[in-house]
Amino acid sequence: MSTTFRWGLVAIAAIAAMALPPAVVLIRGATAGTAPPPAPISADFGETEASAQAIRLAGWVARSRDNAGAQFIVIDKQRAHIYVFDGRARLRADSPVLIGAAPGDDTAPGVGQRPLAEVRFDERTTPAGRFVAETGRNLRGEDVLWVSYADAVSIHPVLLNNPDEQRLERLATPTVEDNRVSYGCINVPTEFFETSLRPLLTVRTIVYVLPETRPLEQVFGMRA
Amino acid sequence: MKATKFWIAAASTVATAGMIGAAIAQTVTPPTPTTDPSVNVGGQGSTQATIDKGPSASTGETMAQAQTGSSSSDSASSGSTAAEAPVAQADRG
Repeated sequence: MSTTFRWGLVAIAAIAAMALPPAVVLIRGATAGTAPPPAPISADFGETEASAQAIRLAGWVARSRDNAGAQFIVIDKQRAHIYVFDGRARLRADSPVLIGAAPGDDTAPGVGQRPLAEVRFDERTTPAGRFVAETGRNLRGEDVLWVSYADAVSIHPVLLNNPDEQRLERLATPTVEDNRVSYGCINVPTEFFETSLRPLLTVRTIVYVLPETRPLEQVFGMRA
Repeated sequence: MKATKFWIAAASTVATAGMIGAAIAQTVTPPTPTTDPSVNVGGQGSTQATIDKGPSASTGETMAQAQTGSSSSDSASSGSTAAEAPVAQADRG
């Protein structure tokens, strides 16, 4: 009897050791883990109009959680417009912008290290892509949001040091063709920068610059 | 003999309970997020990992070819705080 009893205990212990641990792990994962909220199926632009390309990209970010919960910015070069979203893909602010004078989605090698006077017109592009923004300052002493520090492309308040460029006037017009004036940086109205972008300088922000010469899929690796 | 049958029955009961528990737990386990919040990488299912800078025009790289995998910038700035640029520099106006 005692031998049977001992064998019985051994058998139960062996079976329990095999069967129970997976159950305990799964139960722990189910109860102690924090289930993330479901990803939104599209970005919320509210009443704001946007291009099909911007809506598609922002929706993809929302569904794929490509932003990993971070606030994100969409720059639509073809509409010369900036859209600022919170981490749940809800539009928080938008504004016209000034962008690089030359069309194109690439950055010429080394252009970020050259004086502006040495940058050819065709090199004055605002590169397309996905960028993890960095905060910092430019040599004018301004706080900026670096889109690509290596390429010296930033988002900053509209530059007014050359009146001949009429940057404020260009921002004010409803047309987009005249918004191409910079050497690659993205200029926003000063008030917009202070109210909508300065708060982003302390938090992780992803910047998506829409392409104008390539499909979205190629630039962002989108599938859905 | 009766004792043996008893222990066999007991062992079977424990095993069955464990498997049922595991099955139940599996049905209520929270879904895995598509991206790891601590690592900034491209959206799941992408054939191309997302990138953090534009391509080089001189090399003729397309953006899809420019970089793969999470970038150093991504890694360095994981978390909820902004990454900081090392020093002030001139921008492109």
